[in-house]
Order: sequence, then C-alpha cells, then structure tokens
Amino acid sequence: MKRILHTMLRVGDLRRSINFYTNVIGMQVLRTLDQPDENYSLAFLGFGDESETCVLELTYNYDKSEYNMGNAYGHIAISVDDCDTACADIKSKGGQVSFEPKQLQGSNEIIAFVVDPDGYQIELINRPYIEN
Amino acid sequence: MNSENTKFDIPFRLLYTMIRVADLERSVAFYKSALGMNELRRENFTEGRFTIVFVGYGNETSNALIELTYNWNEVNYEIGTGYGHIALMVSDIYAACKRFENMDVKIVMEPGPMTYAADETGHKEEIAFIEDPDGYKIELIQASVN
Repeated sequence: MKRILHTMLRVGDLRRSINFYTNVIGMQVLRTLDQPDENYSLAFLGFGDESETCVLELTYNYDKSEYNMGNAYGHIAISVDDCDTACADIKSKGGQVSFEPKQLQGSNEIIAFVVDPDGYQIELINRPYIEN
Repeated sequence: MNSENTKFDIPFRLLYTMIRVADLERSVAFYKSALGMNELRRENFTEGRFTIVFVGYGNETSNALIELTYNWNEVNYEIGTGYGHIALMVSDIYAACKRFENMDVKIVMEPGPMTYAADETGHKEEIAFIEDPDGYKIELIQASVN
C-alpha cells in the first residue's frame, strides 16, 4: 500500500516548466489545478499514470518567479534507454545538458545531468535492466 | 550492451529523488523505522568521500526510491525555498500521525482534509506534513478507499 507518490518542486514560470518537462523531457501533464483564491497553481507531470508511477508536482505561486535553491536538495533521476541519444535529443529541443554522459567507474551505468528552467538538476541514467 | 536488450520501448521512469543529509545513520533510521522503508542499496565512494543509500518501499526495478547522499565532510545544508517535499501514500493517515507523535517525529501539519478538492471529482484529499531529521518536508496522503 505504501509508496512514494510524487516529488514537489516550486517553479517560477509554470508554462515554461510544463513546456520543458513535456517537450524536452517527454513527460505528460497528468492534471493541473489552479487555485486563484490561494494564489497558486499545481501541475502534475510524469511518464505514467499517477495510480501506478511516481510523478513530479510543480507548484507555481502567483507573482513569485525565483526561489532560493539551497544546496541540500539534489535532483530527480530518470531512467533512459540511452544517455547519449537522450542528451542529443534534449539539446536539439533546447534543453541544457549540465553534465555530459559518462560511464561511472566500476559500474555499467552511464549517467548525465540536465538542468531545468529553474535550475533544478535532473539525472539521466541508462538502466537497460529496469522493468517498467 | 544495449543491443541485447529488447525492452527499450519501455517509457522513461522516475527512479528516485536525491536529497543530501547531515547524518546518514540518523536519516536511514528515520526512513526505516518511522516511514517503514527498506534500505535497498548502499555505496561508499572513498575517493569522493561520500556515501549514498537508497531507501524505498520496494525493489528499485519497479519502485521510485529516495537517494540519501551523505558527504563525509559536509554537515551544513540549506534547504532553500525551491524544493518542496516528497509525498507518500499511507493507508491510515490518522494512525500514522499518532504513531509519529509517539516517536517524536515533527508533525508540521496535522492530518485533515484539504481546503479544496484537487480534481473535478470534488474529493478532498486528507493530507498531513511531517519533517525528516534534516527538515525536509514529507507529505502524507491518505490512500483512497475505492
């Protein structure tokens, strides 16, 4: 019964973030909620249905375009079938690769990092053995 | 290695969320005993002087996890205002919070229905917020009965 449902990040421009996570990363918008009475909007995005997969929640607080990113939170990690292809694809769509694909020492995993429009890092990992 | 695998048409998947923690064993103990997760994997990087521990509710091939990163020489972190929280589904949010209270886990928002419904069904989710030992917020969401 217990499971991780989502990770929430605050973003400075919801439309810009939705555009990035859908067009560049390939997620789908699963649901949105606009709450004018409380001055915020939410968007849930992911690679699958919320009832089955962990998703990303983006919170937009009206009139707040920047946040202190701190140094404690790290990143979300996404499995891809090929890091090189994924990074080339992301670059061609205007995304920024902050760490080029590299094989980790003592591992057969290749990882890369992409940065989202607010500066949040996203790790890409090729894990061919991962089953959906 | 890719050519041998035929499962490449699988969609991408969210694997885990990484957070940096100041005291690894304190955090592992919290995620295990308070939240009921398992330690799934631990790796020490002697040269880079850090340790990572993956915790979660199930096997990492099919479940999203939390990666706890412990940098051996760093204990002071600033969470900032951008990162929000991780949300967990629980089967009985009121019982869970009672348990947290007894364990001295910091409850930052007592369990109760949301002011607004999160979707067109009108269902008001019952939620609560707690804090982990580093002050990261964790949202608890009551699993719906149907």
